[in-house]
Amino acid sequence: MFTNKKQLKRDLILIGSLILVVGIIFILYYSFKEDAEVAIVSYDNTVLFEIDMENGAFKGKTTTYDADVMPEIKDDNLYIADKVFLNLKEGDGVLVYNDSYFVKGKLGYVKIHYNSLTKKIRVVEETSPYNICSNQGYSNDAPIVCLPNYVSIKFSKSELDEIV
Amino acid sequence: MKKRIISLIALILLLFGLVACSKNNITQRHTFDAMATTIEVEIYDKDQDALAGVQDIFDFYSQLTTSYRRNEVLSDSPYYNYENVYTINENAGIKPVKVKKELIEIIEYSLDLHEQTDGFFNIGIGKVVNTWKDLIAGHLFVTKDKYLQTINLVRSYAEIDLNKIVIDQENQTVYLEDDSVGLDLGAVAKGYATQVAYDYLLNRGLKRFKIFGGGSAISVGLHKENRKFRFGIADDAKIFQDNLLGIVSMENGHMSTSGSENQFVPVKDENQKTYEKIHHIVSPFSLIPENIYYKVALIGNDAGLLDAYSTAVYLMTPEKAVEFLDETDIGYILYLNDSSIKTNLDKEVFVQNEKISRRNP
Repeated sequence: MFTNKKQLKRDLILIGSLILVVGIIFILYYSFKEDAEVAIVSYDNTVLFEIDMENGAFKGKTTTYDADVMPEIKDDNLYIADKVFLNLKEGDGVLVYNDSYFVKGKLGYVKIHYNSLTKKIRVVEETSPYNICSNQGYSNDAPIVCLPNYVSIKFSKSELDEIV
Repeated sequence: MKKRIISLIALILLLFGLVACSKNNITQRHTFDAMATTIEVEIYDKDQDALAGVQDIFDFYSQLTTSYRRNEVLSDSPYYNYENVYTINENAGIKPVKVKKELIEIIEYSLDLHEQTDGFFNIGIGKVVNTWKDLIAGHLFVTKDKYLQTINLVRSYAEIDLNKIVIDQENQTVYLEDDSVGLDLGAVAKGYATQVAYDYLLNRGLKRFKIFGGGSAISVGLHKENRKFRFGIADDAKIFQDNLLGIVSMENGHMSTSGSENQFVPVKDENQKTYEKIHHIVSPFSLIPENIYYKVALIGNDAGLLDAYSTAVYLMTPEKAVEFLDETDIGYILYLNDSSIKTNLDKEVFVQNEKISRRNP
């Protein structure tokens, strides 16, 4: 009986300690976690472009094309005003219309949208077996990974204090 | 048991302390308009009155150095109706104007800088600059004929002779002998005020801060994250990756930039092709806006001097600019109109980006 009580006490101390440690880690994580400043869109580890999460400013790191109307993905093709647009290559080039961005992944075109009100970003359309990344919705912290297309969106702090 | 409870409470308090510290990195931040731009100040050390002091400095020098209007501050400011460059110009050839000693100090400092830069920095060029500004105000483009007419007009003005700026130290007055000299401190005032504000913060014992004078005049102490400040140098010509020439890392120093690529009016010929660009940085020798560089960025220890030098260098040929700067301890990035870059900064200070193509479908 005495042994059981002692063991119970030790167990309680152990459980209490674990809860305390987890609690401390939880508090520290959320205390020091800072909002993402930049969304980095990559194809297979090659950065294609970045979006400033505060103001939606675009920074292209690959060939950038500007569209005057909203492009559309139809039947595995990309159209601008009903004309097929063929300049995007797999992992090369980005087509921009306002806060919408189109890149070409392994299985097809990927449409990405930055929401200036919520300051979040999401994959809107993509071609893949389960559409996991487009079903994920908007994010500003959890990475969005379109694995079959090799396209990913990660979040980071800005490298810069100011631009002059 | 008591000890354990006390330890637990102490631990919780420590955690709350950590939370509080982590969420309050920026002690104070303030943005205000002065000197025809937006000034942004961040102070990371605790000092309740420092921000107000910095704005006061900029208000004071805005009022003294403006050549645009009689008052740059509101009527409830203590500096309202202080005599300034505007009133000195208005009284050219009429009478001396009694001014604050700080204004005389800037004018004398600027005359010294004129000598140092072999005349490329010139505070008497206001009349010529205003003629160009009048030409481009409100226009999307200027015709080639109008451009050539304006060149003839400014070259018909009397020679700019800085000896016509008469300073009377005893009576604390400034007098322009005639209106051929248009006093314009626009190329030095912001840097000068930034340096005064920087010294003010240091004198208050502050070490961690940033003064961002609209991009063209920056002064920094130490960064709040115990690293160097990182400034992207904008490539308005959009030739380099990320539309940035690269990234400058610095602390406890100053940077000044001069450029016109985002604020010019094109001169178009009869075929609507851009023939030249008109902006506000005018050579005191050719009397026309020079287009040798997209941008000049200088890094050094004196914000006022850098501000004036960046304008002077912008008007020099690249050979002359390099020769001039190599005789100083100033770091430089010269972004030429042929999209080449000349710099004396090593990679610890300036990491240059690669060029990238950007085209329409």
